[in-house]
Amino acid sequence: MNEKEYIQYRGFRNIYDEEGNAIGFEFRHRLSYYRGVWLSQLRVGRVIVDGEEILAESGNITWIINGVEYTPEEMAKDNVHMWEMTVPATVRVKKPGGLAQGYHDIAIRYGYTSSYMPPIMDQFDDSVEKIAVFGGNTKKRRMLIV
Amino acid sequence: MKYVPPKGPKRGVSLYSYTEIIQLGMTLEDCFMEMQDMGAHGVEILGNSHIPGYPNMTDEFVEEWYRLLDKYEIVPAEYGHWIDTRMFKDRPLTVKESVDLLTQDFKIANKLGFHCLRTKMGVIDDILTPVENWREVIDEASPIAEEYGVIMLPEIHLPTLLEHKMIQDYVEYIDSRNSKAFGLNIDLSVFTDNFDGMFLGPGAELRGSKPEEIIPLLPYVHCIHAKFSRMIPDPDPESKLMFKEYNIPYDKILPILVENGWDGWMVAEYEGRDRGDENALSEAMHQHQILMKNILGY
Repeated sequence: MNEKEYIQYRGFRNIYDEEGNAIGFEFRHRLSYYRGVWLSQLRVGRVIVDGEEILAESGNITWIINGVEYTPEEMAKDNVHMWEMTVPATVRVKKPGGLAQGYHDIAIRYGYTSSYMPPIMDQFDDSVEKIAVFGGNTKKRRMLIV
Repeated sequence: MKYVPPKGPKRGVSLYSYTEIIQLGMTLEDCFMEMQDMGAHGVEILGNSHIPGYPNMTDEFVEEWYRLLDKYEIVPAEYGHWIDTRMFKDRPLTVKESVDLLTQDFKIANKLGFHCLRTKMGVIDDILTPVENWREVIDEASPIAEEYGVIMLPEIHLPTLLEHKMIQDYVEYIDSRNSKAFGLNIDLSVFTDNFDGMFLGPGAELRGSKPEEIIPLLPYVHCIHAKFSRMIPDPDPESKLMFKEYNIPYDKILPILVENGWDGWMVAEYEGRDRGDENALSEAMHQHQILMKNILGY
């Protein structure tokens, strides 16, 4: 079952290496569009956690779609696999120590192309103050980590 | 007794209307049940949206599809798909890549029993003029479409108006090749006569086409998107229609389709702002079907 919020509570957790050290965190979010998109249509933007911005090009963000982990660069070249509208993607963020117990404000930005709409409507810009029609906005949620 | 669709304009539903609730767990069977309740027997699905694992459709899905069509007396009316010409950030799709995408969908649509395809082409401007290479793409895809028994229908949607050049380009294309693989889908948004509360893209002129402008195009129109955004009680005390679409004059358009002998599916496409609310959504879907049923008489 998907939650109505785009960022899903279920799936928000720290991730650990084999020695049990927290090396980052991950969360799931569902597509805010009425149809699935080919991965190369996606424009992966930043993750913002408690005000700290982690850029897509930092090398610290990957997306897991249908069990396969992709870097933003890999997604930009992949027009074979699709992010389905009913299947949340997991966003994995490298952050030594992970997130402390308690509340966290999680936000993500991304966009996608929509070829049948005027070209001006799907120009994605990762600046937080810019809003584009096709996904170029910020999805946010405040959630607890145990 | 097996359901037999009547001749003339037929009432159907695009599952696009249910998107926000499908994303939360509404199933294909839930959608079909509501369609049967409303006597809306034709379905439009969108490949990218409604086929689990698309483009890799499973045999289990196909089996379930036919089981549900039979159980709920639903007919495949139209299959929506896209040529995503802005697939890559640095270049548009080539003709071959476009034809490959189309072919992938022809095969899926054929397996699911669809004849009409709502083919969304990439556009290059604010009034939705298609990409320059559209004729080459359709030329190459047409024999393949015929092989799979499908017809590609670009959707004519506001801010495009019926008088715009691209409509004439499409008609000339069909005539010049005597094409059996290419036609038109008209979205009723083009007949908008009240722009209050409408979401408008950058190319919108705040006017619609006149309903009678569809008459010369009808031989090319294979499917209609029965767009609606806001249903209100019919304000005319003499009217027996019960409801009215606030922005689009259904009472003027549908009789033209009947009088001119048009035969095809009108699939309901709801764009209301409240469609994320399942109660409001089902109510609006029913109101819209009542309006169409009361105009058509069936």
